[in-house]
Parts: sequence; structure tokens; C-alpha cells
Amino acid sequence: MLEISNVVQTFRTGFWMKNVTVLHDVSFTIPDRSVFGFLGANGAGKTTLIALMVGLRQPTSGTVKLKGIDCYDPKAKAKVGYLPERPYFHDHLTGENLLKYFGALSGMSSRQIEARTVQVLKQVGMSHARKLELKKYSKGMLQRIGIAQAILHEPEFLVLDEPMSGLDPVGRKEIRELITQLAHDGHTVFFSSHVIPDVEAICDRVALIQKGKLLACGSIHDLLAQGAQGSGDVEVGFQGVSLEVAQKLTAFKSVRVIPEGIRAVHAGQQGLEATLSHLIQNQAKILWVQPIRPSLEDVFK
Amino acid sequence: MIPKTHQVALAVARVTFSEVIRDKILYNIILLAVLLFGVSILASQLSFITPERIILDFGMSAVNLSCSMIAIFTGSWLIGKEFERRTVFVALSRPISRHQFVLGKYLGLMQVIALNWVLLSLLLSGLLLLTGGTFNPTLITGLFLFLLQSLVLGSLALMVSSFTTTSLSVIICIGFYLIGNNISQIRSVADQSKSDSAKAVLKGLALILPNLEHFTLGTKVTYGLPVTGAFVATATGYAFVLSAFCLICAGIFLKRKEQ
Repeated sequence: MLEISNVVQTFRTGFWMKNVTVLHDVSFTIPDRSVFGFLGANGAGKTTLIALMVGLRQPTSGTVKLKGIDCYDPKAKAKVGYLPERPYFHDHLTGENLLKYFGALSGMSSRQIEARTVQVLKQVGMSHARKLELKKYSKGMLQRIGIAQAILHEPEFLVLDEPMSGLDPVGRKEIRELITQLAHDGHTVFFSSHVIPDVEAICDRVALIQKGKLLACGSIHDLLAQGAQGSGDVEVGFQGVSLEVAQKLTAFKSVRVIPEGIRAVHAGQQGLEATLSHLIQNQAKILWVQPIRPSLEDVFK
Repeated sequence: MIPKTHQVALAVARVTFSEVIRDKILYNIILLAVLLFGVSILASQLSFITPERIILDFGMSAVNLSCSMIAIFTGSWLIGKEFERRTVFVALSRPISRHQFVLGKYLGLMQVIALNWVLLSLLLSGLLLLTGGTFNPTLITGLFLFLLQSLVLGSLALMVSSFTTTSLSVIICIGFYLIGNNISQIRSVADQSKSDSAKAVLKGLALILPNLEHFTLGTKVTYGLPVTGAFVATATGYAFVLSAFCLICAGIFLKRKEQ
């Protein structure tokens, strides 16, 4: 779907107009119909790369192509839907008027805009707020109307810049579900975040950028497999045994008291059966035994 | 789907117009113009000269100042605000060009200026009717030329604000307005200058700077002297060419301003 090849982006800053390189030879590909997560700390170069992907600027060197067309070309832009970080829209417009505006900028006819407005507002759960001015919208509502304008013209490729930033847990969950639904509907979704669990929850593939350099890129499965090497710890929850007894078991890497009893981490899976038998012999009631799944945080540590 | 230029321009113009008419600066400028009309009535009562002439002079100045100030102040923040609020980026991520966007902004500004011009012209006409003044083609031509001047100033403000800050753009445009209305003075100083180089520089400046004297009839309006069709046609053509040049430059400068 999208191919980024050897992209270098420099900016001139300061009094002496010194050249500062923000992206260093970045290359990766986003496959068709995937949900692609783009991770990086604030200032890592995520938004700069996104600006290249949505055709807001051209790279200093290298290419960014959508289905073989340069992203700066209007033909490529017509296939892209973009939600900026913290949606910035004209707040005197109503939700409906905002969609009319972006529909017209996307080349849609009035009839098409009208029909799609009803559909997308329903899809993002905003039908009730279509006549409300954007200045009266909550943060979550703005994100939703932002996604609505991004999908209005039925783009093949969606670029969402930090779509969950500033949202409460319920809002995050709703946006995650919405992105999953969009992927299910056939969109290729690219979204940036600095929150790893958000990316881990919904993405098929992920790329990590740090100080403008691409550190890793691949499928979540492969990256997690890399992180899993040398791990395999198991979490055990039990009750009916004192903390002292639990601490004497050397197989446990850590032990701590929780309201239900004790929660301990068993180092690896070897000897787990013997540890559990020992606990049962000491009148312990096992509450749970659960392998600790590696996270992207482990991979990118 | 690639939108057509008129589709983009009209969509951007609609949003721009609805944004500008909510702006407080606009109402302050209009209020100032209305106050000037009030002063003209007061002055006409105290004057020995015919009251309708005082109202005409003050009224014309009010229309001129109000339309010009709206063009300069509003035109200067239109693009800057889009960048400041970052609303421009979603718009430019659509398959539109910078020039189409600038044209839309200009059309929106044109609507606001035209609305203000119509309202103040009607107010002036009403006052003239009430005080026994007469309408003549020169008055209508004078008002039309003020509208053209404001449209030129609006495009100038859009161009300047596309490469600098809002406040600097206002200052530069006020400078253009003052100098542009005194181009003949620059030429006169050049003619009187003894230094050849100073003469060349001043004449060059008079040639390069926008000549807003094309849009001022001066005392011709007061005395109802006739204005030739060629003069109006030249002024209209000049306004069109200058505005088009400014808008093209604004589109080019806009690329440099992005992010």
C-alpha cells in the first residue's frame, strides 16, 4: 500500500539557518489492509513522517509512495484520510458543516456528502451531535468527528496521528474498537502513538522510531517472539500460606501480598510443578497460574 | 476524486466568511465607520458649508477607511490563524493545491468586504437623501473604486501574511496603503531631486509599489465631476492584475510556511 524509501528530512532552524536532520534514511512498507502502529517518543519524528505520508510536504531526499504514486500528488492524496494529533478544526462549524467542508475539499458532490454524512456519523456514534458547534464538543467527540472527516471520502489508507491522546480509558477503548472496525471494513490503517499497549492491542505490524531513526519494524507476532526469548516467567496467585513461607521458595523471583493472598512470579517454567506441589502440601489454595506474555515494551527496552 | 478549483474555492470561502463575521475586529471597524457617520452629521450642523457636502466627504472617508481596514486586518490574520490553530493541515492533506486554498480564503474575504461596502454605501445614501444631497454617477464610481482598492489590499494582506506574522503583515500593509495613495507625491519628489540616483530609485519605487491612486477620485466626487469609462476600466484591470499577482505569490509563499 505505502512504501517509504530512504527518506531523509532536514529543516533549517535558528538564526544561522542551520540544517537539522529530523529523519535519517527511514525505509519501511505498510502492507495492504493492515493495521500499522507507529511508535516513538515525543519528538522522535512521528509527525514529520506523517506529514510526508499525507502529502503536506516533500522529503529532502527519498520517496514516499502510495500504490506507486508520490504522496504529494493529488491522486495519492485522494486515497488518504488524515486525522491530525489533537484534531484542529474550525470550532464555529457544526459537525455536519465540517463534513460538508471536507467533503467538498475531497471532490465529493453535495448528494454524496449528504449520504456519506449520515453513514459516517452513525459509524462513529455522533449522529446526535451533527447540529452542534465543534466548540461544544468534548475531547472524545472531537476525535470521533475527526475520524468521521477522515473516512468521509472512503479513503483506502487512513493515517491517524495519536488518535487516543488525551482520552480517558473508556474513550481509548471506544477509539480502539472503532479502528478495529475500520480495519475490518477494508481500510489500511496507520496510526502513531507513544503508548505501547494501545498499539499492541490492535496492530498487526509495528515500527519504532527514535530520534528520527527506524529502530525496528515487523509484525507484532515476530517482534513479540523476539521479546519472548529467555523469558517464560509464570505468575502464580495463591492463598492460605504465609509470606515467610512463600519467600523461602527460591524459585520465585518476586513475592508480594495482595488482598486475595499472595502474588508471585516464578522464574521460568522449569520446576513449576514442584513449586505448586510444595504450596499445595502447605495447605495453599492456588488462585491462578498464568504465563507472563512478553510485551512490546520488553522488545523495545 | 480530485475536486475542481471552483468547488474548493467556494467551500473554503464559505468557511472563511462564517469565521470572519464572528470576529470582533470586524464589528469594531464597522462601529468606527458608523461613528464617523455620526460625526459627519454633527459637523454638518455646525458648518457654514452645505451640510450634504460634509456628510459626503466624511461618509466617503468612512467607507474607504472601513473597507480598507477590514481588508488589511482581516486579510492579515486569515492565513496566519489557519497555521496558528493548525486547521490548515487537514485541509491541505486533501487533493487541493495551495493556490486553490488561497483563492478560497480571498473569496471569503471578498464577501465580507463587499457586505461591509454595501451596508455602508446604503447608510451613506440614506444620509445623503435625508439631508437633501444628490446622487451622481461620480459618487457611485467613487464607491466602486473604494471596493476595488479594498480587494487589492485584501490580496496584498494575504500575500504578505503568507510569509510573515500577522502583526508585521498589518504594519506592512498599512505602509502600502499610505504610500500607495501618495505615489504621485513620490514622483513629484523624484522630479525635484537633483541626484540622478535618488531620482532613479524614487521613480523605480513609484513604478513597483501598488498605485492606489487609481482608486481615488478625490474632489471629483465632492463636485460631481465626470469620470471617463477608460479611467474606470484601467482601474478595474489594474485591480484584477495586481490581485491575481498577489494571490499567485501567496500560494507560492504558503509552501514555505508549512510546518
